[in-house]
Amino acid sequence: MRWVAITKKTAREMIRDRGALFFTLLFPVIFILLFGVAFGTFTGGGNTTYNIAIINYDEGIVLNDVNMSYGDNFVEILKDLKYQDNEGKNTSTYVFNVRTDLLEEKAQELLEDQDISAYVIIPRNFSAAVMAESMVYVQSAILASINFSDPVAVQDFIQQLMGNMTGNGTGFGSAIPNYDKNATATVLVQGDPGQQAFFTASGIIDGVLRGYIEQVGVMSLEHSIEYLPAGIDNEALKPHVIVENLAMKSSEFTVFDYLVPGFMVFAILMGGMIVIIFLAKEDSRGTLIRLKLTKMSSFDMLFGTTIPFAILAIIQVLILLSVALMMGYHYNSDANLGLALFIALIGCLATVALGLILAAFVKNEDQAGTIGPAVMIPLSFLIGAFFQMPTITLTDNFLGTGKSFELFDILPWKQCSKGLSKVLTYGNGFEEVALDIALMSIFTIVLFVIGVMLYHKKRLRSS
Amino acid sequence: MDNDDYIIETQDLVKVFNKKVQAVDGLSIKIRRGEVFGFLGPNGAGKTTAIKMMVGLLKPTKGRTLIDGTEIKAGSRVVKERVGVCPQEIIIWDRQTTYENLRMIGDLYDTPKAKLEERIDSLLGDLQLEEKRNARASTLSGGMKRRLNLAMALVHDPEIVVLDEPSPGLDPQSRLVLWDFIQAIPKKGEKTVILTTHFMEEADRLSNTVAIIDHGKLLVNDTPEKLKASIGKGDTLLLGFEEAADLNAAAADFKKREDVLSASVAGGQVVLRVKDAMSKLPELFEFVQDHGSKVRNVQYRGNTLEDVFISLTGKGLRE
Repeated sequence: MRWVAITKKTAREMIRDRGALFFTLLFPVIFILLFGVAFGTFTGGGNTTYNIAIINYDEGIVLNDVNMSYGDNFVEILKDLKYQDNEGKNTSTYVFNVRTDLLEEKAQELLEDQDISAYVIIPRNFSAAVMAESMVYVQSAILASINFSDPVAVQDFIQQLMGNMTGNGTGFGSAIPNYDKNATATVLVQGDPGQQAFFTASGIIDGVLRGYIEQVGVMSLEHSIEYLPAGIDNEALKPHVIVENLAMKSSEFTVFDYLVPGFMVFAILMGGMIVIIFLAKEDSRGTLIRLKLTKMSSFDMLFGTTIPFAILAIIQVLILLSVALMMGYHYNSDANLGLALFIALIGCLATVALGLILAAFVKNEDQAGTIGPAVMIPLSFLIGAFFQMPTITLTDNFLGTGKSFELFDILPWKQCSKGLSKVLTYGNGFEEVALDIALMSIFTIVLFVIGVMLYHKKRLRSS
Repeated sequence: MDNDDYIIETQDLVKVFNKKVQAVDGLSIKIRRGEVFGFLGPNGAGKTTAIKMMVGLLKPTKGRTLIDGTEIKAGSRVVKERVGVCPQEIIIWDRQTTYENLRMIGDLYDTPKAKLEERIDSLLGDLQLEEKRNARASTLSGGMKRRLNLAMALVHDPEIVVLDEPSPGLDPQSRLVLWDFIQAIPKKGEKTVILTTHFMEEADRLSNTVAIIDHGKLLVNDTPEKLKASIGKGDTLLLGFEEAADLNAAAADFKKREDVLSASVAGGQVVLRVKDAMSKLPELFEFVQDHGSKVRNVQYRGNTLEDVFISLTGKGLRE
């Protein structure tokens, strides 16, 4: 079979060009190493300590004759916040390194110098607003506990409640402190949106703040329960969402874990560079003429060339997976590696197809070296290999699946990235990725047909 | 050799590139089965373009090529099977060994494995490449690469062998090995060789028939002997003059002499064909001096294909 001869030739040339092979395999590995160090668990157990500043203007409130500052409490919580291991035990790593000694101007200066990832401004009426928020929680919980389907019981309950509140002062009324019902406060988290650390730090601060407010509400409710009339559904009063504590769980997943599948697709795309350079070299060095003189068909040429590159890309994916694991990638134990490789293989074929399309237009290796990255790198961004790009939704119910279909979903590498992420990171099986595989297969076939036609017309046909 | 047994015939072949550049202009030739047919012409004369059209690599703008009386189509598999082309440039895969290059090309022609191995052994022996069988092509010398280039055109045992400028850059020893090999090709099973060259000695020594081509047009087409005889009897003298000399004026002066059959300027020299040239030399030197010039060097030789070319075009092959 003639394509076997082409496959052997291509494989020999690829393997024997040690320098090109080394750098092709090394390039994405360097990327994954760098990102692994930046976002993975390789350094510091995956738990980065973020430098932040807090400017606390909170004036506090008086509660049962006691001065209370929720702002100070919140600052202390952030200071003491530690990452937890998978068993829920605190690690020694703090989430934040907090500075409270700065004025706004200085904090802004440090932010601009990237010495801190964010600074938080707690407003003057923070405590009042937290109190108001917690009371809303209490009132909602009490209302939720009343059985409104029984009017007699409701009337009885209200009478008892009113009695307690107007009684000797030890009833429910005493449980409700005086507070400003209209108090609102805005906590400002300031940072550089261009910095990944800001997004992560502000996300954590936001989560901790919400948890803290909820916890204040739960505590207020617990305090109020003993003053409520008999017959109330105490079970219904218990919080439905329990915030165990405000420690930052050392999630099994890191930013790096979400990046790895994208990097694999990036590596596959960069592998396409070899296809373009290889085919351009075949043309510029005249060897293509020699091949055209033989009985070799377009199919022999293109199929024979595709196989070694697909194998190389699969090897590259395996190398990247190994390096990613070394860097702390949390490869889902339920993941079907064979399925992931199958998805990667389709991605490789799509890349070879793209290589054929580009090789049809480039005249030599120099052009290939310029045009290849100019296409492959922006493509990596468009498919969201590194971060999510703005989406242009074409339909919210694609083929009745209830899933949306976006413009860049027509790029098979986007499906490849999604499929790899679902399989490797989330441990999904074939059913969950069947649609992704089907779509990328269809788009790959379309690309391949275009690639073969163009390459045949421009390079293989007699002129 | 049957004089009327033509294997290839071109009929009014024309190739125009980009609607502007006319590379081949109405080329009609017939090539006999089993002969070495030489295409002689300067660089850029249209030899390679003509060859490419003859083997189906290039579509003619006009005209056609017949092989055994059947018109060929560009890219035709039948043609590919019957024709082996040794391109002008050395086209080999540097990272493959000598054997791997030959084996790959043989496989791409669907040559049966046993026959292919036999052919490879034979070619490596004949072209003195046996020692380099398992050496990477990149490690071969220039001469060896050129021989491998040739072997790759022959590995599928084609009926018609096209050798496009097979010998430039070769050292004398490699050239002799190559020439011996080319001369032996037709003897092995009635094979036809089409040889393009701008070396008149190569064409003269190897070809049974020579077509001289210039600016895409066929000038003459005959045996080397007949072509050389066609320019008449006499010997050729090449006279080198002082740099300041007016060569055209000198050639014009020589033409006035009865014993000078022809005089022209080619390659920075005055080319004379003179009856009994050796005995006339003192007289010719005196003639030059009388006209105020001085001969710095002189070469004497019998008529060559280059002289034929000069007589047809008024210029040398390398100009």
